Order: sequence, then C-alpha cells, then structure tokens
Amino acid sequence: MKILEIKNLKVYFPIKDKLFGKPERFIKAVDGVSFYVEKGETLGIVGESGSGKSTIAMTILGVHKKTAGEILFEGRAVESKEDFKFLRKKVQIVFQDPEASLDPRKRIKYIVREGLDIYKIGTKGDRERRVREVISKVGLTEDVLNKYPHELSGGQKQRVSIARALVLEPELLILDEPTSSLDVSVQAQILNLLMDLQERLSLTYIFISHDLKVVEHIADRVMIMYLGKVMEIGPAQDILLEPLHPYTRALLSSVPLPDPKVKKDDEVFEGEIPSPLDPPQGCPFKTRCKYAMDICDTPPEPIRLDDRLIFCYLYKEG
Amino acid sequence: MALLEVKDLVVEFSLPEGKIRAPDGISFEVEHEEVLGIVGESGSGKSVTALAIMGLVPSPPGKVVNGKILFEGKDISGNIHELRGKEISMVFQNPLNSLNPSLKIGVQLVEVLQEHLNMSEREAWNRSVEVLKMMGIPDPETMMNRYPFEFSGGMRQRVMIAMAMLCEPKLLIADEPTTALDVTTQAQILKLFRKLKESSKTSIIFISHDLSVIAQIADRVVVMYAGKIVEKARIDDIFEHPFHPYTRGLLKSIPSFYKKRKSRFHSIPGNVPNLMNPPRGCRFHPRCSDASELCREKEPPFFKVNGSYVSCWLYQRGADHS
Repeated sequence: MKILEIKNLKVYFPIKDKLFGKPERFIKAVDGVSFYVEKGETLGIVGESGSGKSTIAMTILGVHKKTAGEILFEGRAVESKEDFKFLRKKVQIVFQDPEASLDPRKRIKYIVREGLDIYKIGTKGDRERRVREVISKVGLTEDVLNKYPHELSGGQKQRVSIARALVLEPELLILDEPTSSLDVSVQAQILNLLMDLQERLSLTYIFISHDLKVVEHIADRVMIMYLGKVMEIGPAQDILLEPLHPYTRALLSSVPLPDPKVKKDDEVFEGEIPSPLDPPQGCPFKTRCKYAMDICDTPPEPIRLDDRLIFCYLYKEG
Repeated sequence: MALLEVKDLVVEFSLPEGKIRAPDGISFEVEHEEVLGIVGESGSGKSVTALAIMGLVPSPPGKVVNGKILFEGKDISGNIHELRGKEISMVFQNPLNSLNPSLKIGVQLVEVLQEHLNMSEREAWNRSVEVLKMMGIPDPETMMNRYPFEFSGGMRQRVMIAMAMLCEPKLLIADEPTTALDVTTQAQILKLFRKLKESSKTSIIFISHDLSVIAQIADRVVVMYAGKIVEKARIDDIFEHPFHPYTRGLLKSIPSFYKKRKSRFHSIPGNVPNLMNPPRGCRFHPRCSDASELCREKEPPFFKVNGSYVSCWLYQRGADHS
C-alpha cells in the first residue's frame, strides 16, 4: 500500500528584485517531482545541496507551500490547513542538527511532550507515561527528562529528537540527514537505533542523505535528485551498486573510499552545479554530462528499466 | 630534522563550569614535503592543535599552558606573527567565514603578497592570477574582480587554498577543508590537494574527522581521542593493521558498500567523555572491550609496534621499545 504519493510536485520560491509588482524570477527548488512511499519501506532521497531534497520534506509537512502538484497521504489529497495538521500527526521529522532543533531553554521532558500537548492527547498522567516510554525506546534513561539540551552529547540529543518524533506514534518518519552532524562512532549507534525502531514499530521512513554508503545500506528504494529534478529512482542496491544515470555514476565515483591505495584522480568529475536561478533547459545535468546530446535540451521522459525509472536519453525502454 | 615538532602541547580552556584540556600533552612531528593527517572526533582537540601551532588559540578562555612548538628547530612561540601567512598558512573549514565579504577577491589576495613579500601591486596581481589558475579557477583575471558571495562553495575553498599558497609556505594547515562541501566538490578539492602535494614542496597538516578523506591524501596519520594521541602510523599501516582499539572501532564504523542489507553497523559503545572530568588512566577505557585494571589506573605510554606508535597497554609486551 502506498502511504504517501507525490505527483508532479513543484515548489518555486519567488525572488524579489523589484520593490513593487509581481516577482518575475523564481528559484525552482523542486520542479516536477513524482514518487511514492510504500508502507513499511525506507525511501532514500539523495542529492547534493540545492537538489531540493529538504524542500520536498518541508513541503510534505506544509512548511513550504507547494506551487503545483499533489500530495496524497493514505490515498487522500492534502490541501487545506486542517489536512496538514492531521498529516503532521502522522508524519514526523527528525532534523540534521539537534543543536538547532531542540529549544535550549526547555527541559527534555517538555520538548518530548509538546506534540501530545498540541494535539491534546490523553490526560497529564498519560502524557508523562508516554514520554517515559519513548525515552526508553530510543535508548535513553529517565534521568535525561529533567535536563536541558546543552547537558547532553550530540548523539543523546539526536535520540531526543527521535523520541520527540515518535511520541505521536507517527506512521511515517522523515529523517533529514539525521546523522550528518554526528561523529562516525555515534552515527552508527543512531543508524542502528533507527533500523531497530523501524522493525519494532513497523515505521515507514523517508531517509534524506548525501551519504551514499549509508543509503545503500538502509534504504529499500532510492531517488537520486539534481537541481530540483529526479534523475533516477528505483531499488537502492540496483541504483547504487549498478548506477546507470551519468549523474549517479559521477556521484558514486566521488565517494572517497577508506583505502589509501584507491585514489581516483581520473574519475574526478569536474564542473559545478549550475545556479538554481538559471538552471539549464531540459536535463539539468547536461552541462556537466560527458554524454550530453542536442536532444537533452528537451526534458527527458522517464524510461522504465526493470524496477527503476531513469530520466536520461541514453537509455531506451526494455 | 623535522619541519615541525610539537612537544607535550597542552591547551587549557577556563570555562565557568571548569577547566578543559584538549589537546592534553601531545607530541608529533611533520617531516619535509609530507602530508600528515590528524583524525579524531569532535572535541578530540585536533582543531585546537592547529590553532596552537598558528598562535591563534582564542585567549581568554584558551591558553597554551605547556609544550613547545619548534619550526625548523626553532621555538616559534615568540615570533609566530612573522611566520603566519608566509611560512605557515592555514585553510579553514568554512571559506565564507574566512573571506572578507566586502572586499573583492583580488584585493584580498594582493594584500597578502604586499604584506608578506613587499611585492608591488602589479607583481602581486600577476602572481595572484597565476596561483588562482593553478588552483583550477576558470578565467582568473575576471574572478579577481568578484566578491566572495559570487563564488560557489567549492570555488571559495579554491580561493582560500590559493590565498594560503600565495607565499609558497613551508607548512600548510588545512582544518576540515572539505567537510562543508558536497561530495563531488570534495573529490575535486582532494584532487587539488594531491596536485599540490606533488607539485610543491609544502608540507601539509590535513585535519579531518573522516578516515576515508584522510586515506585519499595523507602519508602518515595521527589519531586523536579526548585530547590525547592514541596512535601514530603510516597511512597504509593504519588501514591494514590498526592497533589501538579506538582506531579499530573507528575503521569498523565506516559504512561500506556491499554489506549485508539492514545488518547493523559496527558502533563504539558509549559516548566521548566529558573533558571537564576525564576518565583516569587510558581515556578510552570506559568504551573499550579490552580494558583491564591497568587501563583504569594508569595512562599508557607509546609502544612501538611494527613501525606504528600505539598508546595502549595491550601492546606492552611484544612492543619493540617503550
């Protein structure tokens, strides 16, 4: 069952060059993106900065307003303010930097309880019980409840963020680079916790990351994005172990390997991401693609190959 | 003689809650024309070590309370301001914070050369253009007249490296120079560092939390944990036979492709200790599965094992010499 479906989503941010009148220029942060998330699976979203991956997350939660397209949650269109409020009870987010996403002046017990207070769930006693329950689920002890965020380590803070997201018993968790600000040894602890929680609570994840090795490991399917558009989407291992789209290949060849004997100077992929204010027409990757052809000036239609969809003229159906 | 020798360096921070020492008594050398990687997690003291060498420890609250820094055999604590930018230069993690936003790139580069090498404006301009070109910046003449905000993250980092290399320093300290960059840009900057390593005589201290990045550039590595150095080794040795339990844990924690899907990642249990009140003995012992009574009591010295130096009691026997 599809828990979430996104159809042709566009999110444009206007640029105010002029003092009066309508803005004429837009940053097309997300430009015609469609995908779905099956119940119980992990969809990885991968892309470099400016690819639109976090914008998609914020738009699903109603923080950014969509310019066009449809968001369907459990089959129902999400349009009005009330729809989003309902959705936010079922869809929670964990941000990259727990330092910035936990209120420094509130105690942990309040931070974790806040969602229950907002949705007026249960009595005071119920809420406190629920808070203690999720705190132990994320591997913390109850003595953190009376502490402030600054008294905790980075890993503990990220556990609090996860507890806060779980307190409302959501169906879908959006994890926006949940381990990027953590040290390697702690990163592994948090990833393991997330995998355990998914199994135990049958959660669905959208896992946003730029770390291809982590995504290959924990995602079932993956979507590769570049400048607001989808390049390739399909089973994670197919895409990340046998990349087809030239951008996915470039991305993978850029990952430094923990082996001093493998230095990939010849494969280093030159050029820069174009400005999102003035993106190339057609395939946004064509300015850096060594296979670019004239036809790439027209936006490519998705090509289905086995279980994946590729937006590239190099490939043909079948 | 080594180009740089750091001996027993201790930097102390006096905070309202108490005192923190990181680094706490570390010693290492940087040889001529070598790239030394310093790897460690946040709070291990790796960046403060760099700042201490540069004479830039923010004071207060920080203070170098012990140790010597010898550059070409001479103590530089008194005259670091004469060497800084000329003989020893530094590249920081976030280029946007290290460039002046209101001055054109050209002005900022020319100033360095006029200040340190007394070049005329014309000479300085030409040299700057030349170095920008070396760093792979397209159309450097035009770029000289641009402001930092007009550059992308990767290009700004190239400008920072250009600025650091202008006077052909003997030592370049790069503190997490690729951490703020996207993976494709990171690969480009690493390639640039490798080019510098081959084409110039500059020694480099390359600081990173990421062993995969260090693997791509360093000749030797110093692994830091909670203010102490735990292992010093050649880069191949660290990856082929790491000795210290922390180094081993760190290497195993690196996610890799082709692992069994959804199997659990290796993690080091516990958290980095609070340095306000560090553990007695070996600082890693609360997280170490091999810890013994000795580790809880006494700080291990360095043991030499197969060419690596390891600060761990496990190697007391079988060590070449302590």
